[in-house]
Amino acid sequence: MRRVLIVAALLACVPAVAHAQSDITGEWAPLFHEDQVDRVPGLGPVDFAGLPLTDGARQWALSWDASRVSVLEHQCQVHVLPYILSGPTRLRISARRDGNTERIVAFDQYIGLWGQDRTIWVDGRPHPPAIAPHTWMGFSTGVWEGNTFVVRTSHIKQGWIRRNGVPESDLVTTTERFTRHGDMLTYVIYIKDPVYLTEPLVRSRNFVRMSGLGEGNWIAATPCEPGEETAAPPHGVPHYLPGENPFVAEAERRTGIPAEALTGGAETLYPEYRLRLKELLANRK
Amino acid sequence: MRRTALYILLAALPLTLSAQGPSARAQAPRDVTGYWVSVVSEDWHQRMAAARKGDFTSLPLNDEGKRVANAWDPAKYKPADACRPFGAPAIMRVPGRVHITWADDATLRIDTDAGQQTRRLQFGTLATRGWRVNGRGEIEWFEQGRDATPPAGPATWQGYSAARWDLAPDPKAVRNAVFFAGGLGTSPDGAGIVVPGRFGSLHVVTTRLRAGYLQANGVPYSESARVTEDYDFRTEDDGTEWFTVSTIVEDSKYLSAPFVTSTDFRKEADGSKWRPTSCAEY
Repeated sequence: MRRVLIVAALLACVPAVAHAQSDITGEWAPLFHEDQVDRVPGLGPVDFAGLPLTDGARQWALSWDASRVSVLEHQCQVHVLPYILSGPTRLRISARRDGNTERIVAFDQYIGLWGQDRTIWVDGRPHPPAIAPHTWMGFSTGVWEGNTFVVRTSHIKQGWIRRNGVPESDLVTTTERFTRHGDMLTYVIYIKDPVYLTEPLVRSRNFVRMSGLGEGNWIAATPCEPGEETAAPPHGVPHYLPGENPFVAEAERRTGIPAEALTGGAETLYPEYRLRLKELLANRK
Repeated sequence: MRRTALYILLAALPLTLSAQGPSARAQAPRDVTGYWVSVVSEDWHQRMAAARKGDFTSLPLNDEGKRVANAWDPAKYKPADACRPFGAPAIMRVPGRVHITWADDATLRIDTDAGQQTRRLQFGTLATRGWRVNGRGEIEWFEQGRDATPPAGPATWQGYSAARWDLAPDPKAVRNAVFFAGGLGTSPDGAGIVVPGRFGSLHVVTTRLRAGYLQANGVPYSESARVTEDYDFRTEDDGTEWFTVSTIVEDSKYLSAPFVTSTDFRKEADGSKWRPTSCAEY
């Protein structure tokens, strides 16, 4: 018995190598324990709380009519990078090697639900000049800070940072961090938009490693083909003129939160705003 | 007698191993002390405005958890219940500021102004694990020792927290990064993709908790809940310092699956915005 215990004690001292601890390649499924409503069904109109919006962004978002996504030119617009990994999508990460040297030159990501491929170059190439084309996923390069994979992206098309019409400009840049903790992948995105954000917006999400081959867990990407969906007059862009968005009052009723808070702004992100919110709610009674 | 001595030796093993190296404070990959503010860009309605009764959309509650959450009645509020939403499983999600200091070389202290709570993260009680460079200049993952049993004591809102650093290896010492960057064979000097510097995560396991709320609207966690946290500190390109804490709450009494969140904090220049508020006043 004593010998067994001694052996056990010695074994406890022997380093065990676990090669895959910071291997971020593989298939990952999202968890929705935070921002579930925002990320899955989507928040209702006029709910921009917790976003550091400029006045211009707020005006844009208030003029946005959900029918806009039915316009032919917008039907195939996919989530842009600053939002897409918040959505209900699985994520596949793989390494791309140079065929001659076998060195890794990039990590490829496949964002399942919307069939988006992105490449994150790790071979030291610079970002292209500003005049280069912009895409939904942008141009990305990556480095390692310890076991965290840090990805910087530019050249992203204009899109949205929240699905209810909050805009994102084509000058946006992002820094993402992928850190593996066991079978959990923590994903943090730091979004800078000089047009529509007064300060950087940070979001953190969690993915869990999928076991096995994940058969049946992936939805085949279907090419988007625009077509007439409504009887709306051609070439019209659904919108609300300033002060005419009927969903402002509706959102107040739906959420119980005053419009001043629902229309966002950097001040709504900080703990002291709770006092202002209490004041607003007290005044309304 | 010999057997007793052996048991004592085994019980002391983790402490012995951890005592061999530098202190936890010296091991810290960066200075994590200071005042930090939670930036509430996620779950805004639940965190800033207090979730309504029955709103537990995103929590993986089991039937018993739902029953208890639905039975919550604010009219039956008692002063002794005031700190229930400020326990370790929930406190980092509460909008507020935290002040991080070293209580001693092996104890990291986190004070919160919201609810005036104090967490003490005790180093030297978890098995050592992390990345290191071996004699061949290769990076390898290692685990050494085993976790010590938390000392006996009363269940409290903040429980007993055991901590360790999960450190990344020093890129300068690497000659053959077979295992680095996910075991993918990236050379440390190849294409300049490994940033020099000290990096790593703070890993914390908290048990011995007093039963409380995961959300202020009465969503429960039990005294058998276990909280695992990983704190990742970073500096953004604009020079601001941040940390994100990934929190996993396991509680078979009320949860059908681990409850996972990640919460973001930005460092502040000083404590001028620190506003201690009791649980009842919050």
